[in-house]
Amino acid sequence: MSDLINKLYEAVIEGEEDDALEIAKASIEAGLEPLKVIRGGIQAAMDLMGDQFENGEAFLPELMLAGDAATLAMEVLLAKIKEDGGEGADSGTVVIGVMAGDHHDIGKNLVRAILSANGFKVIDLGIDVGVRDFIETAKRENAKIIACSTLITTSLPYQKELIETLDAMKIREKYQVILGGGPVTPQWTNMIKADGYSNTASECVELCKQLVSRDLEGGAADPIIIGALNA
Amino acid sequence: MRKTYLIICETIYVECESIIPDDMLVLKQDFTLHNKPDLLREHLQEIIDSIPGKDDDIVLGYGLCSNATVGLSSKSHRLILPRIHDCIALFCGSQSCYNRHKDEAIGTFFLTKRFIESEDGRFHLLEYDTYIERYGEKLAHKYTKMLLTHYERAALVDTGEYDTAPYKKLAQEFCERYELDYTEITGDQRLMVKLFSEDWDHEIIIVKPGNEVTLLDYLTDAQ
Repeated sequence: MSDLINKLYEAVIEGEEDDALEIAKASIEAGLEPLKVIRGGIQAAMDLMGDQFENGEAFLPELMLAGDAATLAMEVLLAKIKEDGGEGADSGTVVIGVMAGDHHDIGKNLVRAILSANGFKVIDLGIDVGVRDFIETAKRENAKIIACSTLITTSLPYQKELIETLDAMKIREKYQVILGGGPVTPQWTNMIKADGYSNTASECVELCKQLVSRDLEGGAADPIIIGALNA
Repeated sequence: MRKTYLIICETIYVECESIIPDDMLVLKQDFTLHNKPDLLREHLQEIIDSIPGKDDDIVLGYGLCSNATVGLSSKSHRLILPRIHDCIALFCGSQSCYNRHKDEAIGTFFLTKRFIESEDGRFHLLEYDTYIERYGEKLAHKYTKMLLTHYERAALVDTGEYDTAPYKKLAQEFCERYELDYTEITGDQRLMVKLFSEDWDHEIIIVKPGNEVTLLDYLTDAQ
């Protein structure tokens, strides 16, 4: 593997944002294939960090910094792919945000980084996002997935309201709505008729891949649940 | 005669020690498992399963704690839990009172004694002690600052259970260091009193033997 890809891998693991950005740019200047750099330098690093966090070997700030470094490097590599007219890394567009009334965005940022590292175009609306903002952005960006996160139970009803609003606007079948955050459960996902749930940020990649590939023209399908709680 | 067991998080225990009835059988639990809600759930289930006999009450001194309580059940006893999303609501006196404080500023970081100081007296707010050990002071500061992104203020909740003066001082220093506004909230032990008194109403979840605690139990309006 290229020395630059190895360096990028290390920079992401170390959470060195500036280095990751510079190495990503250098890899483009060196004529490396961006998709190869993404897979070897970013996806592999985020996979390792995700595993280490799950095993208790890495702490939250390390994972957060790695996610930030991965996101920055991804932006320049994806821009290069687009510039070249390629769509190799285009897994689909995801609109992501933290529900109204909540500002806890660590989990959302990790999902953003991991999805981005896996070729999804991620539009991040930030924190305290209203239902209308999610929907308007998804329409404008032609997104396939709306990912809404909350850590606090009092913001859970907004996830339900989002789905009800899509229903009322008769555009429910256009979007796959996935839920995340501490209090979200498969039971809640089923109850409000969302489309997907994953227990961890890493599992969200598989969830989104499955969701973008399914065809809902024939009507609603059961939600996809990955990594159910141990309860 | 029906017995009442109390499985309680140490963080809550220090806020209500004086009002726990003498005849309650107290099983105090460490706070640390909160970082791994799945493990906390397994741990709590093991304790519940180890309680002998039949038709007693098991009171859980826990909030929802990132769903750690969802799925808990007992074959032989009733489970009794406060209908609160976060233990801070227990310290404020009710879920609605907690919501009011939270709505004043969504970026409020709530503090009590055990969020600031560990049982052995270490300053462990946001795991600061662990970070210092692992990363050194400079990085520990940087990481703590990162974790506090979007927080505007810290609020120390005073339930009246102990002298908060030393914690006020620590909380104020913390706020100064991380550029947060500092405020104090007068707490209320009323909901903890209710939980221990068997005067259970809509603010309390009662789970019959054989049934499970569900997320929906918490989404039922307790206000």
